[in-house]
Amino acid sequence: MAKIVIAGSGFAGHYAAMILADKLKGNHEITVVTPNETFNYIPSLIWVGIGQMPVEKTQFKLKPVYDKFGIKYERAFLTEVHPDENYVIVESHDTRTPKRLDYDFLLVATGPRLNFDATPGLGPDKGYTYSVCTPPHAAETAKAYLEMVKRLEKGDKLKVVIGTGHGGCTCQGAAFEYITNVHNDLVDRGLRDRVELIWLSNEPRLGDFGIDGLEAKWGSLIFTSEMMAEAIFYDYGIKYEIRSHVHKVDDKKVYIENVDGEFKELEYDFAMLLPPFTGQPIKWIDKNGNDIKDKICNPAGFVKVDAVYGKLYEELDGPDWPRTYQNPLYKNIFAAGIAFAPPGPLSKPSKSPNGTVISPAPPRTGYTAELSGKAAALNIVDMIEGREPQNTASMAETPGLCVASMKNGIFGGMAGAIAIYPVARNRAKYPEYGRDLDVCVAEPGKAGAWFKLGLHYAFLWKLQGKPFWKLIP
Amino acid sequence: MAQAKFRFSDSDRRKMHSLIAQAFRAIFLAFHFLKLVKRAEQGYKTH
Repeated sequence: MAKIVIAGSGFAGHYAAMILADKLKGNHEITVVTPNETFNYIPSLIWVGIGQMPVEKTQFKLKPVYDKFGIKYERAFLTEVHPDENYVIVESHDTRTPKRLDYDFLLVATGPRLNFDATPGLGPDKGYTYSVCTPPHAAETAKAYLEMVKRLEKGDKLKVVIGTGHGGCTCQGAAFEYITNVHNDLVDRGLRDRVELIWLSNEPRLGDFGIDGLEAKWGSLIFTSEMMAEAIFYDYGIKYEIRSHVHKVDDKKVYIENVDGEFKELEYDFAMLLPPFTGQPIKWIDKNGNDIKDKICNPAGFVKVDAVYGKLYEELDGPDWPRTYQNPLYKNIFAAGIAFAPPGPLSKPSKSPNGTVISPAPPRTGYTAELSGKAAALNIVDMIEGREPQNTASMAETPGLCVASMKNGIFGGMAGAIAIYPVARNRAKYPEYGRDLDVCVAEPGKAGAWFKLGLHYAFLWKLQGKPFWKLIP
Repeated sequence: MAQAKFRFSDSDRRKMHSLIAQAFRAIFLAFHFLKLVKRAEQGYKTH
């Protein structure tokens, strides 16, 4: 009987655990290690952050799902991996007691550590800004946002800055959703004219979203995500500062530097700025007790897999992206979701004349995380059954399906339906654009809003393993 | 601070907000997304 340990219970880890339990039918031991009590559907936290959805609607308890699937559940933090001896050390969430778990296969799907410390003054705990990255953060953001609304109702005129809080951030799409939802919420409240709404981002161009933007055919026009974002920001009266790194935040201003080396100060009354991500603080120790983290992980702490690392941005192409998510040194270790180390950025990195690096990291969340988690899970099944890993989900061979909400609602809602194929440009296969423009879509409308709401309920249904869950992609 | 350049036309805006037009787009997009999901799953060999 093989022992499989999965660290993490997000899109990649949780879905991988379900796939493994379904494929292995109780013949092997699957343990999920996670500090979380609930699965958190992060894409809907943008609605929590403006007080339009209670946080409980984005969550479900993990234990009943794992009991149903015969999966062991350890509510704990993964602190050490001993890959030579095939065991991990986990620390209990409640008592911090360490415990050893032996494994035959390990899947690291821990998601990111939110690195608010990278920018002084960033974040709700030690800083002045808010975030929608976790359920508690989104709930706290909603509270602050609604307090701001009260000030607006009294007649105050305020400045709001929303976007990314560091030059190396990812998930610009989430911040884009938040700023457009804030705009529409303020319009509905009749308060929009009292707010100066500013988009602040590290993107090289508007609508880049950390994926080097996208192009789609719209009649005879090649319609780009840059055009979509420009048109929306024009309609919504949103000003923007892009190509920018945030040096620090204090209680009144955000201090930025752009790629031209210009230093600016943005005054604000309310700011939601996403942090950059790093890998979780996990120790990697060999049989002699040596720290081997630099062999297993990239400098940001993400686990290396079967990608081609070390290439310059200009040289990087589709075949360099990982396919099986297997670690090259320890073949029984896999990494998926945000936890795997990408071979490089998707968006063009840049540096200011002062040497400040402004380079959006590639997003690998949501559906992309699920795909990598499923590939890793099926490859573990392959190895248990004596085969080489044969399941692939390269970001250069799989689509990105994303719905960017701008306003929630069935009749009044609005969202951008976005499909890119593949996520990572693959010029070896599609020489002109690196993508198949015949299937790429960038389309704002009510249909997107219906999709966004539908995906919320469909994913929560599927990930609880409710009837017919396997039919939901 | 920059201001956006590209603009939606009035016709684009009408289409985005029309329930009937969007119902047709939703059907198209549902099938389109499913087609792409099929492509995504081509890499999975273990069944």
